[in-house]
Amino acid sequence: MLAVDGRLGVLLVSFASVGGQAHQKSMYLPVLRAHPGLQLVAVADESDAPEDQHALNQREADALGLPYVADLDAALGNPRVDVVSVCCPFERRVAVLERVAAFGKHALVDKPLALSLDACDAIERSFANAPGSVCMPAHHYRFHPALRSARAAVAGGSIGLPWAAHAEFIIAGGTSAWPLGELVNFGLYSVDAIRAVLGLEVQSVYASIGSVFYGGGADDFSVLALNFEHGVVATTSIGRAPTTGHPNGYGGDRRLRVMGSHGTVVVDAGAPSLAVYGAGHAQQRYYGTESLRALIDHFVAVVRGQQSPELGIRDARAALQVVLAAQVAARENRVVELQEEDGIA
Amino acid sequence: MTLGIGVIGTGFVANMHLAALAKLPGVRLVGVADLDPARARAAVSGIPDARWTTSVAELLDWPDLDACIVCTPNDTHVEIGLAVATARKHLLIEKPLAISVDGADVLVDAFRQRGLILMAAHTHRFYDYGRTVKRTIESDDIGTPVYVRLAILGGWIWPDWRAWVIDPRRSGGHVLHNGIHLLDLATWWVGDEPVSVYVQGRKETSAELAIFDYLSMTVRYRNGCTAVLEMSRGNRPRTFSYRDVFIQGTRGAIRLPWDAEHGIAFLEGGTSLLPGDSQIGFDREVGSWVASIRGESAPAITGDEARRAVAMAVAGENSLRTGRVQHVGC
Repeated sequence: MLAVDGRLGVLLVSFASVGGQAHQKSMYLPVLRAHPGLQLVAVADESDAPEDQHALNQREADALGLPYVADLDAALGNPRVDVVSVCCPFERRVAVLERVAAFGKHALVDKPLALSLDACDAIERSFANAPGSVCMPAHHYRFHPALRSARAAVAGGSIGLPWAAHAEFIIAGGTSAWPLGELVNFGLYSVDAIRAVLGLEVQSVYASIGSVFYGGGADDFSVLALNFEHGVVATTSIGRAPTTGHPNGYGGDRRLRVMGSHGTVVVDAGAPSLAVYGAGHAQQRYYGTESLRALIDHFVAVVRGQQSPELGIRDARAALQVVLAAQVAARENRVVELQEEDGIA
Repeated sequence: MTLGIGVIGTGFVANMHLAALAKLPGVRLVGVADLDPARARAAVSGIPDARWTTSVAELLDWPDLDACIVCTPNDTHVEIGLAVATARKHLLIEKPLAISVDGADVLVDAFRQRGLILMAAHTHRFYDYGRTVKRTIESDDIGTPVYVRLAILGGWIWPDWRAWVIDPRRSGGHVLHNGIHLLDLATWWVGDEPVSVYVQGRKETSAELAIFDYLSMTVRYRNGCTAVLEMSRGNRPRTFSYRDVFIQGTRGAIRLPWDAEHGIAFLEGGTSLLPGDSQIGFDREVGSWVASIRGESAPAITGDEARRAVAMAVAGENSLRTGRVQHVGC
């Protein structure tokens, strides 16, 4: 049911910190709150969530002036709730999303959607039983204006049949790697974007993965060599570098080049931007649409039935499968067929 | 003392070496050898006292010859290089040094045993961009390189089916013929030993090609650095000319985008970069080689480095053939 003014009602599920990053608060909330098609309704979590999680959720709800419901089913039963922003820890994702689907609500889920293919499959089963309910993983990089323009050019036949794609995805900034590794964190973005632009599936992967910047056990830099259907080849770097003073700021180096039978397209996710320099600094200042906002625009349009979903659980599973296969490839220094790793849970 | 130099093989690339010799003080072109007498004669046209022959043995017998530049097809390098060493002449040889590691070993040993200079023509080390990247890495501005992307992409396939470079039996394949430029350059930049090579290839210009006109080579180094090196002759449009360098270090990065070096021309026929000076790399390379023969400097590229590049390229060709990662047997 839509809110009285036609906006979709949003339930925020959990302000959990996942690997030290509180994405609900830092990423999703500002965009959801500012979106003209959405209205925040409540904050909720599972009743058996840890006590300190309930306390944190309560504080965030109070700060927003929203009710906190420490019972997920009760919150989902609220007819004012249409969509759910899910940022709970990975170990609770399958259960939370099963309830969202059971109530026929729509889910926007922090990425990675899950950490195993089995979990992705379980989530897919839940939503298969809830026709009309949307579950969208927040792979927002594919919605960046630069990536969308590349995708449109390729899909429109501008470069003929694509035969190679090469990408950089190196964020500039940070003092440590995400605890589960930047390949899982950022790799999904780049792999998903290349898949979206090419419209093809990865068949095998080779990879180099290391902790080259921060030490410790978590990877912070990777290089993937991908073999797609029709012999199309691709590579992507993936990392979080400690580079300071990057002209693009935190955005760092994110580019894509696609080569085809009749041409080449090159896009830079640092653009559109203008150069600003003086007084000891030089900066490229981005002025394009934020990719997360573009994804949420699409999510809202899909929920309203105005657009078909460009992105779903299968995309999350496909990107995760590449990442999991890459981990094996790097460890054993060999090319790994994705079929071979299909059983990775 | 004037250094007497002979050029063996007078095809396309020999012209660049001959032009370099013509500018260099203290050297004299003694003459050239080529199986094609008309081409040999044309190569020395207008050069006073320069001789020509169709026989390598005859060239090597000329009494005032001190050193040779070999520009023959890749599969002849070991035989001709060995003849040069036996004649006790110094050698600058077009890349690859050989199309097998065993062949490279033969040449390296032959020149080392005789105390002669052997240098392979990895010309990209002598261009401004290659040297500037190397100097920037050595300045420690970006810390230690952990990732190198070097893409040299074009749409110019060799003239027609008669070109020996598209015959893998003669060239060794595209990794050995052109990919080796990037393998050597990146390894020089990284300053470490390669561990393995994985190559993805495409045949874009024609499905009938026996070589891959597009290569994407992923190299892992002992120090943890990874390089992605792209070489293409298969891009469209045919006038496509694109070089891109990106190096991520432990503290910062180097970026040399495609339009960093030359102006852009927007013309009725399309957009392209204004041409640069491709001769300068050959001029410096020949100058450096001559200086090392005179004992004025160490060889800029050692025989062992040329051998290592061959080992990487052979591993790359094996990777293309098998679809697997290949360890580099340095």
